[in-house]
Amino acid sequence: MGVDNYKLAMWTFLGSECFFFGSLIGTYMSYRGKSLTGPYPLDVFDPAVTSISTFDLLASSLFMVLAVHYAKAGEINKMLGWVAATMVGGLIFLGFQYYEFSHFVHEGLTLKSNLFGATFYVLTGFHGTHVAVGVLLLGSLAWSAKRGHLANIGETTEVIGLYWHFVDVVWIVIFTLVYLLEYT
Amino acid sequence: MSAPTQGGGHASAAHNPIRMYIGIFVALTVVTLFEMLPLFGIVNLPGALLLGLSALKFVVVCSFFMHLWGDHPVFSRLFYIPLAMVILTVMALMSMFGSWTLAYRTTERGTDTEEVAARYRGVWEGECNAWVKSAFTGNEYCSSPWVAFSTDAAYAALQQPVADIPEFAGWDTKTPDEKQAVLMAVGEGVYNTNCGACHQATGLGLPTVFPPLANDPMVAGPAEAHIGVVLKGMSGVAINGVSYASAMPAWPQLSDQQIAAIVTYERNSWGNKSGMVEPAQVAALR
Repeated sequence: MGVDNYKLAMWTFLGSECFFFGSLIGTYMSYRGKSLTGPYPLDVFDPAVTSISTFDLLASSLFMVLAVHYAKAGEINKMLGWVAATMVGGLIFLGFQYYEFSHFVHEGLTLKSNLFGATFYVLTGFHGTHVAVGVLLLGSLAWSAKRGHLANIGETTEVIGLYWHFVDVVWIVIFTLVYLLEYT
Repeated sequence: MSAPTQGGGHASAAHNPIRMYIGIFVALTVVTLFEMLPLFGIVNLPGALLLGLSALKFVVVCSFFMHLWGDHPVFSRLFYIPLAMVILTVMALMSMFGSWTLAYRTTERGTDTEEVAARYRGVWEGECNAWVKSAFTGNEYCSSPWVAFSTDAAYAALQQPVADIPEFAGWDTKTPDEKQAVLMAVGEGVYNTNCGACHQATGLGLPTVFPPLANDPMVAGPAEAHIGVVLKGMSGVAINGVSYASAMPAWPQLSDQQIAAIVTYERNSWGNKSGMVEPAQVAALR
């Protein structure tokens, strides 16, 4: 087909990731509103924290696409700067997730307190894990690029960027289904 | 290889892709800010609109940040076909579980109405069966036996006030044996509809979640306490040294005849032998 093999592999993987997150989202949505006891979503959600981490992840997507642009243009220093910015965005997101989770647990919402807790932590926890994996991928990309180990920095950055943007679009869905819909 | 592949290749924006990226980011930010208005109680937006905006953002990121727009069509197929299957699967699951309406109960209750309504903004306007106070937050939660009701219609059907059950006609002329037979027959049906989902048809409950009614000190004890639990609910009480995760809802929507039937059925099933309860006893305790 004349397309990059790694890119083809990444898109195939992302297609399968759709099923992975689809199963978690399907479980969350099926059990939504069926918890026998609290705490319920509106008892624990913090709109400010969610808003900031949503913008943070959105901004990191912009940083990522700029990193891909400069990688393809061969401007490695600029590319490294935007990769670092993307990683910072991911780490800030993880920090907020840690804050959110510990806050929720303090309020009595655990993995086993009710259906909401079980489905919420599994869904958002796996998303957070994906963010963490993305940060590691970006770190190894920056390391290899700086050491000059990469023959085709443009393609590699693009493929890792695809993963990063996918994690961002999953958050767009989670943000809407888990958080926004509670406020309608 | 890098020059001809040109994954981000996008003729119209090729002259200045960075401006396009920033423009898209600004547009996504504006849409997200708009979506956030309900989070802070500024404006109420319908769920369908929020889902639509979310889908729009999703497609924009895929098209322009992930460059699916203008890239080789095989990538779009690899991604969007599984995505469509996933959306259908999630919708099918939600249909099976009756999850299209939010089921947290909104209710009017004393002076807390506003607070409760603000906390549980569900579409349901029915009665709350039981109020449980969280040991952690001090907030009260509406606890309804949702395991029993797969749809709102099924729940609404149970909420219908029952006037007089035909079997109870000529109650005062019946002998005690006849009364007991009526209570047991009616009680079995009412129990299985309303109570069996948690306490089980076997009366054994579920360990540490729903307490058993067989060999239960409350069922073996005075009828007044037993009727009181059905009428007013119970929570946070250890039974035979075991704590239970779920709250017993109150069932004031059931009629005196139904509650008398349930209690009599429970007091004379699964090895219990604690006598009969008359509808008048329930009425006296309301």
